[in-house]
Amino acid sequence: MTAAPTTPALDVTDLQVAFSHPRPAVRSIGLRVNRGEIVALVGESGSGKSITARAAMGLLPPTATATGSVKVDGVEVLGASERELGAIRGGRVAMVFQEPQTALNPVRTVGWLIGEALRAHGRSGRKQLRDRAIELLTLVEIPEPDKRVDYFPHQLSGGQKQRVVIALALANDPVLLLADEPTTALDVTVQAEILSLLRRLRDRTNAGILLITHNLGVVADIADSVVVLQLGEVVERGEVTEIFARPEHEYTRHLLDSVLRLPQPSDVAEPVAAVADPTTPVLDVDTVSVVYPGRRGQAAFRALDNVSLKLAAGEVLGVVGESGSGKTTLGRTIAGLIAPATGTIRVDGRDVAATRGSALRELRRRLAFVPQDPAASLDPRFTLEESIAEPLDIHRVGTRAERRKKVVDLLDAVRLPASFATRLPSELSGGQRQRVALARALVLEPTLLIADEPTSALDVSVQADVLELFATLQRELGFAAVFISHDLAVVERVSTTVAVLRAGHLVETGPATVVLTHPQHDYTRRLVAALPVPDPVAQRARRQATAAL
Amino acid sequence: MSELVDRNVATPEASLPGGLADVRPGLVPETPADRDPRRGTEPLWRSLTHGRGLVGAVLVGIVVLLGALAPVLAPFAPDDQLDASFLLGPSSTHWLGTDDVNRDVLSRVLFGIRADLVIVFVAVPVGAILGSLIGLVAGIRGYTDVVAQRVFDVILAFPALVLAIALTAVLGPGVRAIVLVIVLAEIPVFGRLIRTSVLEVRELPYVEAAVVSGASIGWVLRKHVLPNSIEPLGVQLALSMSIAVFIEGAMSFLGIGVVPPTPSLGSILSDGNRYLETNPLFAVGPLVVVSLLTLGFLLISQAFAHARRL
Amino acid sequence: MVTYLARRLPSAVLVLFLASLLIFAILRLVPGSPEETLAGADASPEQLAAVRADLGLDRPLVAQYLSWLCSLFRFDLGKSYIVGGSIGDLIAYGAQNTVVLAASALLIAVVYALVVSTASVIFRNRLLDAVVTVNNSIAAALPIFITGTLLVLVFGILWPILPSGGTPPDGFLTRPDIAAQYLILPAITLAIPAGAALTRFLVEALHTELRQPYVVTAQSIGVSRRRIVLAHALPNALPSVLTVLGLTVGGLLGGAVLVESIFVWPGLGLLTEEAINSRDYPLVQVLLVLSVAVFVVLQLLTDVAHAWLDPRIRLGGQA
Repeated sequence: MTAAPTTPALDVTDLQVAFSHPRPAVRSIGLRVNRGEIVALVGESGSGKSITARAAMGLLPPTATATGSVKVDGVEVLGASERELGAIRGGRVAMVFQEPQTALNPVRTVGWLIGEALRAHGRSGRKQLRDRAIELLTLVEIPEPDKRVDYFPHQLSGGQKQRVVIALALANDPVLLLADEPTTALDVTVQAEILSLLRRLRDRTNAGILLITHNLGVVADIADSVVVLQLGEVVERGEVTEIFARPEHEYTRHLLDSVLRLPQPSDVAEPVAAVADPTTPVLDVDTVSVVYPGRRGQAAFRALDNVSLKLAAGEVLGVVGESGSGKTTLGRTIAGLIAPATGTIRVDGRDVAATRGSALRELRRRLAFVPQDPAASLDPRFTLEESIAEPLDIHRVGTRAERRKKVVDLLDAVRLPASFATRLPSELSGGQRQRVALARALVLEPTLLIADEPTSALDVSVQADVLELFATLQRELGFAAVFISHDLAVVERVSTTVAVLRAGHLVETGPATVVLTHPQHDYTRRLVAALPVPDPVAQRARRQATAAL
Repeated sequence: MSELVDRNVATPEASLPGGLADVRPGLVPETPADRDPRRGTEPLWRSLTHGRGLVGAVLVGIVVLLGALAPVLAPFAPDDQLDASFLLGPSSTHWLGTDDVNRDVLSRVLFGIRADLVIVFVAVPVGAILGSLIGLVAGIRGYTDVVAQRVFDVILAFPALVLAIALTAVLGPGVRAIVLVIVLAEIPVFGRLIRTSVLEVRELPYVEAAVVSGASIGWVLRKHVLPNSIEPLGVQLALSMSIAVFIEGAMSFLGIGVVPPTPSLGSILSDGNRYLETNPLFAVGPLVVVSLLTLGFLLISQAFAHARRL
Repeated sequence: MVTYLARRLPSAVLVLFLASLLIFAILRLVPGSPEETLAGADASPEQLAAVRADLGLDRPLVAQYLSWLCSLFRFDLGKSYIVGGSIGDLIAYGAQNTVVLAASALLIAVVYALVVSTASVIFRNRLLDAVVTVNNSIAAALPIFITGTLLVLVFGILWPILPSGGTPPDGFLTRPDIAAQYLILPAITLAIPAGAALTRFLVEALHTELRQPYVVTAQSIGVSRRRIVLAHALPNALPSVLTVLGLTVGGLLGGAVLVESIFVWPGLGLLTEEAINSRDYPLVQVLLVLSVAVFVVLQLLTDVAHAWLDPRIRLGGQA
């Protein structure tokens, strides 16, 4: 028995959430999601968006104290008993999570799990449960639902897992769907599919959807209205085209400015034939293949298949691809962490695999690596000075005083105060840690830097800052770089050339801006088409254009 | 081997418009689950100053003190056979009574502690060092790894007591056999610990960054692996000491441990077990001491583990 | 899954082989010649010659080892020189009693661990948790020979309500109530360390599982806590607990030696103690081989169960 159709699916009034830490996590939030409406809740880390969603599910941790009102379909959630919450969760409101790889119980079949959702709300009977499960799998457009219902999660792809999560959420016809970064962990082509699925489901079930995301392209693609959060408060709200066209609050404007967009094809001229660089390339990858041996009786996996490319001094090569494309493997092979099965890798003309001993150490002075995960890019026991100076220590360069000076210079170059030298990584934010990782990479003045998704884990505005820093430093110091990313717009921003990988094959390569605005290969075209543009009017037009095809 | 981009990291960002973020230690995380509340940062020795660490340290300390001061505290020599003292119950001269060979139980217990302590504090560290060395080499080179794993498997295939039996059959009972059993039993334990540590740390991103810049395996071991291993090592050391006390006790109990007339806690307990009705304190004496020792070491290892949330 | 197991088999065989070599070497490494050890220090030359011929001690070592190995496979276990009788008979008799004891102890330990750990995780009661933790710490810390002695002291001597040793006079099946009285104390003693270890691991494993994202998914669809613990988390926790189970059963084997000694329970453990103390090496050898073989087989079984329970291993890769 759901309430009258005009009752909002979600009605939050003056929600405040505090933990034992003195600063409240949510200072005061009010918002409303009507039936059939998709509201995007936008904010960066620490804005309180996830907490608001948890509050609506009654899933706040026991250490949290919440005041205010959160009504789902007219029923108050805050302060409800565990029994009442059991009926509300899954029954009136359901959630779709960010990480499909871990959201499903690995030792249970998909059908059993959907059955659990149904059993928790009073349904029973093996056959009826199974039929309903197949019905739901069909609803979320999973192919061969009668077979997949008996599959275990590890037998499904990431996109399919996310569809199962959505099916679970819809099992008991909730009026409110909370989607917490539902496509962030998915490839861009899969993201496009899931977004259209959500739109179709909204049309069919008339559920209200609260979509939590930091990705403004997604917002432009699917949202009807937008609520912007900063540090636990709503700073702006409005209809989606209004927000994008005429943002009022300073923070909203800052967010919109930080978003990277691919240039429009109309802004970029057609490609001109590139002139070959006659000097020795800094990096020469020659028909390299990398094979991972099979484990647990599975066949060997060919991560890279005969990839060849060259990099001149001072050039930045962006490597893009989806999961399983081999881009991370390529980066690690170039860095010398993996030995290629066939082919050679030459840095400054020297074959890396053939060099040993002190010659290898010399060669490695010219290489540097920036890892992806800010939580693990620095040794938690080292002070920042020790981390940055580590390459100097390894090669015993300079005196103590000289090393200290170098550290200070680099901290300055990455725009961190010199006083930070004695701090530990735990005292820094993610963006700051990545800057330090960058400083460490530059301390030996390398000729080739390999960066593996260095900004992917950072918030939008922070990412923009770090990328701008990277671009500036690259211009000033002139190092060559291999920049790996799944994000096309990021790659376009920093790279001179781009290489597109798919399933271990090099599919297309050329000047970055040109390839990403006038893609030649079919796959690249699909990638570019799937990337949502952070402009609702333009995005809608694009969608209609592709639908018409 | 899919490479899902991990964009799951909810690193708190105090990002304000205009560039440089203000650093606030302990920023409010997005959800408390993101900040792992279990990550402790207390140095190991400090955990001994409170809670169960303190209790454990005190228990062990008491026993060590008793053993160290045995010559001063014991009213009789451990081998003294006294007249008319067959299995006497507790009295003011003999606090724990006497045993079946007319000796004072209290004195024997006090001196027996020394045998245990020597064994435990020698054998366990030796086993730890040997095992760690093997584990270190195993973690570095592939082929040594295979060999080391097999060696560990063979040793582990023998339950500790069975190993003890086999060894004493060859070497004869005595302290030498006990020490050897403990050393052998601890080698695979520490070996696996260090090996896992080496393998895990080698794959950490900041270690890889150092390797790309030219760090040798020696550098990685010295600067990154060893500091990371100290805590699990400490926890395991305490745990192993607890087990070593048990092994000595069990071996002596079965008659394959310390050779009489030298007193050891296990052998006194074994003898006392037969005279429970006549003089229960004969058995209760060593029983209490062994309990204090094993419990103490166990509490210490738990405190260590808690301090670093391992 | 078959390939997964096939990789385990060679190392198990290798371990058994190496262990048998070591065990065989025992008799040869003991100071003094083997025949003197077996026949006794003051045996006559004829007796020594008889022993030598009996065991084929004149042949080269390798031949001796191989023939010993072969006779083991044929279950021709030889003669016990000092304890007396055929080794095969001794073992058959002792095995019955030890199996009854070990099985009861295992049952007690597993039931205790399951009930206590799931209750503590489901009800999240501070008091319950504290009691369980303290209980476990003490149980884990006290060695078997201490708890056994304590139990005999308390229930056998101070308040004599249970027999302090021995097996039921009419066997286990005719009067099960009397049999239970004899079985309780030794079985509990043996079960205590295993139960404590199992409980601790199970609680830890359950807590780890409850922190996994799939549990949040289950909560979000409205599943009750009790059902989450029992039907969602527990199946995931089982594989790692199985490994611990394998190890604790191995510990039971070692513990049996001590428990049977304390309670005078005529099983393989007591037989082992007798054999050691009387230096009956052929008997010791067979017993050692038996215990290692049981242990290795157990590990293999645990691996099988582990692989079967995890669908990722059972079914193999991606669709």
